Amino acid sequence: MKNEIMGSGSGNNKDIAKTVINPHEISNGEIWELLQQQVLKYTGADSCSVPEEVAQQLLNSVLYSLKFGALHGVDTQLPAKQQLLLSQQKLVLETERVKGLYSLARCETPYAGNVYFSQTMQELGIWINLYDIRFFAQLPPSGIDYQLMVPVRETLQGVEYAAAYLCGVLAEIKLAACFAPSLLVDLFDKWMPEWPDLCVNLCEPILTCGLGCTVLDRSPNLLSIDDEGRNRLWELLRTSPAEQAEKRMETAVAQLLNQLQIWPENIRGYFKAQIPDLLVRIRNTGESGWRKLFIQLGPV
Amino acid sequence: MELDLLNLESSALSQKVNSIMELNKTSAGFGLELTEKQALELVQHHAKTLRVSGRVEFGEGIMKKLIFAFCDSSFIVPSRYENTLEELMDSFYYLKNESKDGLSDDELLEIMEKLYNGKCQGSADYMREVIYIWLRSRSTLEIPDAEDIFYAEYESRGMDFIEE
Repeated sequence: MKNEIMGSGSGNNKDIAKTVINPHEISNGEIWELLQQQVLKYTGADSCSVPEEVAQQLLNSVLYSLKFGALHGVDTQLPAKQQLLLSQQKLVLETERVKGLYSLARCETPYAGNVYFSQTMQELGIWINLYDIRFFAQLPPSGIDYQLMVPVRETLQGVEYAAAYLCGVLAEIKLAACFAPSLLVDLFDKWMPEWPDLCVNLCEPILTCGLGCTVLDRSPNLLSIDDEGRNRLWELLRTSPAEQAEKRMETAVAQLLNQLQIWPENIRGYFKAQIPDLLVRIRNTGESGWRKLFIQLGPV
Repeated sequence: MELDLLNLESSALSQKVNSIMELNKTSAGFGLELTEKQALELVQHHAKTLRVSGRVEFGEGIMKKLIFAFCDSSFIVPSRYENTLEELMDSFYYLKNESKDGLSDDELLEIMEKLYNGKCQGSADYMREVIYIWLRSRSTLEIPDAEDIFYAEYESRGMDFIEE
């Protein structure tokens, strides 16, 4: 890895930082040349200078593209210019994949009754159409207000963020699709009557009640837990030792997904990853909140 | 990775000074020349101006174009040549920012040159003010004649311009 600060080539007033550019075998001088080429394209060769913020964004875009390319099989021994071109082609392919994920996520789902969910999906659609691989590849979608059960890593950028978010949405939609929409609306109404206007995750009550049914060895299909079931769950999950409760939940999530015939490993992993956090919330809930956690549906 | 302000390396610095000295061949025809010391000061001033105006420059830079555009001005006094170039350079980057990069380098230089050598009669400050006011009140992407830009400044002050 070359770590030297290269001369500013054509005599520019600035150079780029001393930071090494992992994992690419590209020197700072080559990066500077790529940046120069990008600035030329960006200004349409009309201007030889740009505001510092623009230069920084263009540099971030170049670095993000190269990193993405390297992670997706672009040969890092190639000249930097060629690497950038191939990386941008990979980004185009990934954007196409994200478009596919987006059309899948636009299916009918009870989540769409929530204003934050529907607005977020709209914003994502706009972002996908405007995604600028050439100059601002690193920018993630803005206007993502609907929070997933498993938040997307903040370190993800650009199209990778959109892909991770949409994978989360699709996993949550998959779970919702196992139940009748009217049942879910009933569940949401009883869980939080203002759910259409609140910035809340709607998959969580489904998973919680589904797991509750499974822990009780009941069918999860109706998602309903009566007083007797709630009392039993209090013993099994709330007052029992934490490790026992965690084991029960881990077993329950696998059983639940089996019963609902959700087989893809990535989706199963998505829900399994949620168990520790969900258990903390369950064990921190007092008696008064317990009824809101494990809900009885239908006429009480 | 952050864009980092670094001092020019000595090789790049001397390269820039040399390219400015080269331009003496053109400007000398109009009685304007820079010494090597002045050229060095101009390069240093250029770096400082870019830093202050928060811009990054690529390629050949603006210096060459600026000197070409103004070296035939009858308003530039040989003894103030270096200072005048510094003032014009400051104005250029200031106006570039104020235009939100809506003017290309060539467009801005043309407007500056016409006003400086015309209605503003060699006052870089006045030229900058006139263009600044025009940029503020600009509602279309169209670029009017330098004279119209000048009149816009009068109008902004609420003064009636009486045509001579």
